[in-house]
Amino acid sequence: MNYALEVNELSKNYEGFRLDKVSFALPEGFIMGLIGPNGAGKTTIIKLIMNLVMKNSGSIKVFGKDNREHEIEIKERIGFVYDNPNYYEHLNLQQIRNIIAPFYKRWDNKVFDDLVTRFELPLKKNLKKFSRGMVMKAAIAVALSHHADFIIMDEPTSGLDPLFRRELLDLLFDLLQNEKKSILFSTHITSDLERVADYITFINKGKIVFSNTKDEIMENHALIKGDKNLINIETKGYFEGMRINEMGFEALTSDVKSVKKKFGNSVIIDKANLEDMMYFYNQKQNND
Amino acid sequence: MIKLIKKDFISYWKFILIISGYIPFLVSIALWAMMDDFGGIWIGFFTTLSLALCIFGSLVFLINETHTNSEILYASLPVERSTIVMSKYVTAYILLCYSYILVILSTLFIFSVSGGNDKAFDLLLSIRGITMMFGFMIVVLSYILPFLLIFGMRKGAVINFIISLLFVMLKPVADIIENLFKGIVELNFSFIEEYFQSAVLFVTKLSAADAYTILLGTLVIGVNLSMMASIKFYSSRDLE
Repeated sequence: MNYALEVNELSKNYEGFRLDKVSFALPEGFIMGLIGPNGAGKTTIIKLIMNLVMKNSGSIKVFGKDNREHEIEIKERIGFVYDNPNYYEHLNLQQIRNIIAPFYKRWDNKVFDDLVTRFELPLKKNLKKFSRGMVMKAAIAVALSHHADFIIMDEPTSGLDPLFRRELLDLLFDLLQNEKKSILFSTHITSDLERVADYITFINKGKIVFSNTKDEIMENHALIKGDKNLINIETKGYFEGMRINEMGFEALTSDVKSVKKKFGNSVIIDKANLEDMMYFYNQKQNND
Repeated sequence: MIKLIKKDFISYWKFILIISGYIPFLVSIALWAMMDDFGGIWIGFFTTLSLALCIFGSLVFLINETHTNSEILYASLPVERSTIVMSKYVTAYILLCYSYILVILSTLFIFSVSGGNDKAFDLLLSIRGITMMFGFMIVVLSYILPFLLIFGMRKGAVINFIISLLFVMLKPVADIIENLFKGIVELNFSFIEEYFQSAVLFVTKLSAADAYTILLGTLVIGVNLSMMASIKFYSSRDLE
């Protein structure tokens, strides 16, 4: 299998934060959601992939090549959407295009113009008059206009209202569904990913909690509800995180089969969504 | 690299328009204010103002980059960091040349309109004066740029300010330290002043050819060292 991205034992130290030996891989042509609460290390990973910050140890390979040694070649193939695109606000979109286009060998003005029309973006209006949603659309148009094989998006939907977020995601994935592009999509809004991601990597406090296909994650995880008398030192080991109140307990498991075997019909097993997983794993890490 | 330089001029064409206006304006004001009293301290003031205008003019665009945080945008494009550094140097030097040409042209223009002149300005407007001032500004820029690129614009600007202040205040600070330790330790920093005086004396005694050779040599070495340091540290700097 060919991989768009292979991250291996990646570490980065900051004062008060450490990205700790992070490893995961994204096969070519798939969409991976990088999820985690604010400050978990998602942006650090993306900055490390883009060589914006320097790693302390580990390796990053993009399309099988080291991201430092083959930086230019790799960046030619990456479309990058940053949570804050940092465009010059006193310029208009046409001027931004004129600045960025010459850096890419495969820049395609026709694709750019089509996207600008589709996103209904004005070419001659200064970016400071753009709403946040329009800026993000502009960033996506720029990222998709040089026939990038790998799209990296860091929190592209943060700060957008739910309706606009949905519209933006629909547009984006509608554009990409017929193309064999690999996508790494970082977000703390997990509902954005549940519809579209093939793989999910969950990072919390600088460590990978899990990285797997979405289907396997959804299959293995479940919310368990039952009487609180069922909880003891032995049974706690079946759960990744737990909430107990007067009514009973609610917990997350990553091993549904074992829970079924142990508790039988004495508990209710519900589907867990990514937000539940984030909540309970975060709670578990806090308790540890 | 040309693409990066081009983007600087596309991004900051308004800024270039502004310096095209404010440099001649400030030079005219300064010259008008000293029309009746040329020479001595006024020449010193005028020279310092011109130098400050030129260096400021060439650096403001770099500081503007921090406000827009566009450093991250360019570092994520398929371009090497060493190329980004070199382009910043070239853009800064182009703007330095442009600012200095504006100062010279404005001065000549004011003199031709007002009919005034002063011998004290002859050196400043001679080829030798222009070359020396320009050389000095390149050296200053070569020490300012690495701090801005290595430590980022905000920290770099503070460090540059402190170093410049220390340089200007070297003599008074040395005097204060000498007086502070008087009676405890006999400190004597007069060698610093003597060193500068002998260096100035040495340069003034040189023939024009030798002076230009030394200037050129110093510039080439200084700019290269500065650029090498900037590339080395900027390439491994975290862009946040």
